[in-house]
Amino acid sequence: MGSRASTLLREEEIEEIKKETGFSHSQITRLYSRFTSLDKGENGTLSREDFQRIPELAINPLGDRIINAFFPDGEDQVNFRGFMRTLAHFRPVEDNEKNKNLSNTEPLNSRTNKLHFAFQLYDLDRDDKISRDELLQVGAALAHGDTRVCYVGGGGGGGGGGRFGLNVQLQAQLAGPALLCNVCSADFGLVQIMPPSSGPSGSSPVVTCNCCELAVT
Amino acid sequence: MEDFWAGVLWALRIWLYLIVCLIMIPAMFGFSLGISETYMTFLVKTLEWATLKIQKAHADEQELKALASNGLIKRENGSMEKELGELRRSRPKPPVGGDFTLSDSFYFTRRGIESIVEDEVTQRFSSEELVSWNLLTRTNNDFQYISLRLTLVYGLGIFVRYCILAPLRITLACIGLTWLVIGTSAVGLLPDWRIKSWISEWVHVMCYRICARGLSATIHYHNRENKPKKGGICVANHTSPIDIVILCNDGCYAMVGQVHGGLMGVVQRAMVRSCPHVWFERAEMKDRHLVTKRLRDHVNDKKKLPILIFPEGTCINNTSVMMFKKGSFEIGGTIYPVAIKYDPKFGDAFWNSSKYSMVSYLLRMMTSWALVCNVWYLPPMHQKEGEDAVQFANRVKSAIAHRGGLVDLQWDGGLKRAKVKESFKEQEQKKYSSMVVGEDSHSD
Repeated sequence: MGSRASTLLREEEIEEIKKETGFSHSQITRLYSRFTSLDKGENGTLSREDFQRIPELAINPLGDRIINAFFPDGEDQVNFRGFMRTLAHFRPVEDNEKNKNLSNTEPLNSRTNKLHFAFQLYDLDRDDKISRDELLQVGAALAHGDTRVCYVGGGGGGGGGGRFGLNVQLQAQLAGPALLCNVCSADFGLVQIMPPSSGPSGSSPVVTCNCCELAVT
Repeated sequence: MEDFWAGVLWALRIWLYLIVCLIMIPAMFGFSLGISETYMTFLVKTLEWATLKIQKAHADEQELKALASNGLIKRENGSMEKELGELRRSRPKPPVGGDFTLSDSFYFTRRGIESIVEDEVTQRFSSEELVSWNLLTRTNNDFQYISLRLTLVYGLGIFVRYCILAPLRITLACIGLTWLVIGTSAVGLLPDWRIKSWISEWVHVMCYRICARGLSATIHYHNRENKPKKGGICVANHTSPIDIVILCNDGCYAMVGQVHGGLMGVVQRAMVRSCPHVWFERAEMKDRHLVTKRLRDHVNDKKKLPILIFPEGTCINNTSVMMFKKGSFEIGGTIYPVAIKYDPKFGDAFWNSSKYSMVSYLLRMMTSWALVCNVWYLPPMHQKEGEDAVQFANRVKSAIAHRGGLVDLQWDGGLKRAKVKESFKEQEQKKYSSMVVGEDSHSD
């Protein structure tokens, strides 16, 4: 482990991951050592079972969905690059990064990508829409089928079934720090490992989502 | 040719005489000639010097090391209630209660990702991470080239450990074990007089002392006035089978365990002849009532030695104490908690049983620098009125964790092999739903 692991990871690989994910050199070697200790099959990839062996993750009501996020195209193995790519969504945005707008590609830990990640936890069928059913399923997963929890507010958006489109979240990104629908209680915040000292702050503009068929105020 | 063999024989004889005079006889009567103390002082000085050298060479990497000891992520560690409240702060609704909110998933997602990066449980089942390299190549710090002098010291270390210490230690361990088998068997033939238990104790302690020397164990006992007394149960945290040798150096215990085959079986059968250990057949072990009954009978007999139990049921890597199985706390009687903490600088005492067999583990220990260990005897504890076995077990565990400077964990050490029960997930879900719905928080 530790430095032993870093010797197996080539220097140019580290450079590439650094560029892609923004993690520092020492973070990458640390995470690689974690990766190898999770890799019980010792084949350089992680399977779903490898993740499920982490007890704290196994009891997480959303554990399966979080694990799924590491397998974006339905594979059953993820290598270190893929592992890091998913983790990169949770890298905090550092102060010196905020003002820099030099790269042409959007960093994985940008606000949009963070929201997109959160969105995909709901969007099981990956059609870029959260359907009413999908929403109910998350409710059920969190609350173990307690029906008092698993309802979707409002009953808006009849006909086609209430759907939160991804574009709502993109609007939110433009509108301000938090998305909030005061009709159906939809509320998006930020997810990140190592959050900044203060949470999402400032007064948030009220946004309604299109499931309630109301205009953005 | 004959001359050669005569020479070898002669060398062997000197070797044995030296062992007997310098190690065996002091071990028998429990005094020390100060050889191991000198070795320890020398070792501490060498390791300090090496640490200093390494630090100087890697001044730029200090940050990394600091990171290694503090972990990679910053955790909020708030309760579910507090953190969800935080997430919901911008909503014009009461922060807690109400209904399911989309942002609630963020709390669980963050927790999940945190546990993927670093979790409390699985890292307890692999070797402890060291902050600085200890000139051994078996921890998180592998061989590093720093300077010629350090490499020379490292090479010399290999020579001393493998060519001088290892043969000596192996000889000692063999003598110790043979002695234990012969000694206890012989004591078993004696009639059941009072002197028998006295001799039995002496033979046991002597053999364990020889074995401890075979591991170059330096053991510091604290608060000896709290040593387990007859008719009690001694519970300790478990790092490796060597724990038994460590504890028995300072007094005898009755062991509890399963009957093994092979070498262990021979030792077990010999030991039970001289003093009443409690060994179970594999099938008997499953019968909880029988186990409890036999242990209770043992405890109630005030003439019998205190029972030694490791309630974690598995070896943990010397950084934490995991869930205590409640069985040992249902027997009744006085509980004497003992905290054992090894010093990882001198060698990794943790037995990773899924990776190493018993013999290869012992060989690794015998080729380490030494075994330095602190043992704290805690004041005896009794089950309180209205306290059930689980609560009592947790109380004892916290006391041990606190005293030994170990992390107190609720998790079951059995997770090393088994998966988490589905019911734990349900508990988490219930916690969430009762928090969200509010009114049924009393139902669990």
